[in-house]
Amino acid sequence: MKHLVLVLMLICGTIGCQQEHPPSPSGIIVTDIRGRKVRIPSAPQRIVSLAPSNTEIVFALGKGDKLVGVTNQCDYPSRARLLPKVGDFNRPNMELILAGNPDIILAGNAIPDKALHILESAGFPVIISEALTLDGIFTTIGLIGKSIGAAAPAGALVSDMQNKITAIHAKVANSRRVSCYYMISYGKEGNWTVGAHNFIDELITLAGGINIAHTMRGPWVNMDLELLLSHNPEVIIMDRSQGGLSVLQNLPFYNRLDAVRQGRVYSIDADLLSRPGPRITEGLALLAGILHPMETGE
Amino acid sequence: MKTRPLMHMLIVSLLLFLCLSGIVVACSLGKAPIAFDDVIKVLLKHIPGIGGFIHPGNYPDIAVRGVLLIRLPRAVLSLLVGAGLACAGAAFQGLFKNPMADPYFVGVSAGAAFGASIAIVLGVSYFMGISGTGLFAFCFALATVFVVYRLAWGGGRVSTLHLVLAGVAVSAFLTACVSLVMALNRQKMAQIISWTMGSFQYSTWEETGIFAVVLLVGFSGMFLFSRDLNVMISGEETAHTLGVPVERIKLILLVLASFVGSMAVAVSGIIWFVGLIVPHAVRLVTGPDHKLLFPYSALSGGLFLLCADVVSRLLLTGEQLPVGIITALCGAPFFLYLLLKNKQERF
Repeated sequence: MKHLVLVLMLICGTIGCQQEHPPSPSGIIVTDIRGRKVRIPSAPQRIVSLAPSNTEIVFALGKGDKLVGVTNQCDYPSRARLLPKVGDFNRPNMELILAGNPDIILAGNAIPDKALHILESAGFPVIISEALTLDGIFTTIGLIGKSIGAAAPAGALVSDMQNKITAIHAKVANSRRVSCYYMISYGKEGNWTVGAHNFIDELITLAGGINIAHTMRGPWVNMDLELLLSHNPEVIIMDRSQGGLSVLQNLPFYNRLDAVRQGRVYSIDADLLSRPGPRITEGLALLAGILHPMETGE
Repeated sequence: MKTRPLMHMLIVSLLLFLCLSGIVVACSLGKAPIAFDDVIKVLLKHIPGIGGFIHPGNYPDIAVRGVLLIRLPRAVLSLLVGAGLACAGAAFQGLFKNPMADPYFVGVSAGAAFGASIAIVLGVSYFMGISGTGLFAFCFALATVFVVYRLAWGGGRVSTLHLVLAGVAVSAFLTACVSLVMALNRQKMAQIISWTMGSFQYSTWEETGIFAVVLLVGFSGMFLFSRDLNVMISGEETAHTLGVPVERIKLILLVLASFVGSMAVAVSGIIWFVGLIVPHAVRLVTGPDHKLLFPYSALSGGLFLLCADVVSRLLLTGEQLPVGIITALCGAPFFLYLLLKNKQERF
């Protein structure tokens, strides 16, 4: 008993001695997407990315060689697959991040609160830089650029993306808007789609479409099938991993939709649209081509 | 400890030594390249009280971060949770005179799982290093125990049989509620399931500190009443005539064990079988004396869970296996063995 009390006291005592590494006074302070102020070294040499979009942005800014760890989901560009893995985007592995010994961590929205707390108390600067809106994507590219010493390339990338988006939008701006359903999942997984607070909704609008779930709040919405039927979208967009037209033709409810009957179901690489990174311009071009094949010359 | 005090002292010291060296070993194992002597240096340097007088030499910064903030809290928390679960299990098994009782017996796990799933669905954030999920789990677990206890109360006493039955019924109901929550929020299902499997992957010092205090209170209380519990095992009537306030002690022990069990669930999720098999294994050595059973269970339970957690984080590369899977893989066969043994005795 005595021994045990002693051990417990020792343990309680140890808790007191954790805050001993104040962040070094050098470096810059950036404000991340959640409004957290984070002090980071002025030119980070070892970057860990905890979101596929962050990995894509870092590569697009020419700093891919500074990445020392990415998530299991980071598969683009193909060079990212060869980098050391530090766990899943929503369950990063502390030990593997530690092994990378990063001087900056670019996290996504799915980082668990406790993981964030541990990384911060261990003295790793963590920036949350995964956008939920189109504007946010430009902001995060600027934020990441500033954080990893690539502010100029970031500015160039943002204006290039904005130009591309304007050009694509110009082609379809005067056309009739096509009603569209963006399918994330169906059936047992729930009929998930994107709501108003999601950049995919913005991209659908820019591509000359109208998201039938646009009136529903939240970034993601579990769609009621009766409601889907009453909206009867002209076009359905789905990820190619979910299958395609033939799958929906055999699904109750879905097989009564005009989009399915007329074969306007498109399986695409959804990463182009769902990752808030540089490739959304490709996604937008793809979307505009699907919704308005005549105007875009597809 | 009256019969062979020296031997018991030796065994307890040995277990204590194993626990401490287990922590050192746990701190030195992992994917990050931290040399063993650096681990020792960091640990020596940070022993509270005497660390200031020791100058073990230089060590890299990564060793401090890795050992003190990532590996050590995890190792200590798994040790403490193992100790807590084993003690609570021993208490419940003694209280209910039922070898199949464990710390989650009266609805703790189902209540905690329900609370956690609600927190996950609502997206409750965290504060002061304690996750909202943990907080909800803890409150719901305690509330469940309270409800179960109230249901079993009648005629000025709590019938053990009613307690067990109410526990089973309420657990079943809450488990159904968890399934309902998951069915309505399928996108959070993976998160809820992974929570219920139990893990020490994100252990913070704050949680470790809170759990240490809860364990200290819980263990002291249980140890204090271990003699009364010994008497109660020989029969509640006997205990009553011997002047043991049976109902009050039952209530106190129940509250303490549930408190420790709920807090364990809150910081680590549901970890099956530790609270079930450890007291059993210990009882084979110590016999039914709770004065020995509690300290022995605490130390060996801690050691067991510490080892299981180290295995869980080293077994797979890149992934971390939930520690609950490891303990269940070890525990389930033992559970079956007990079941078969019981059967033979009965017939």
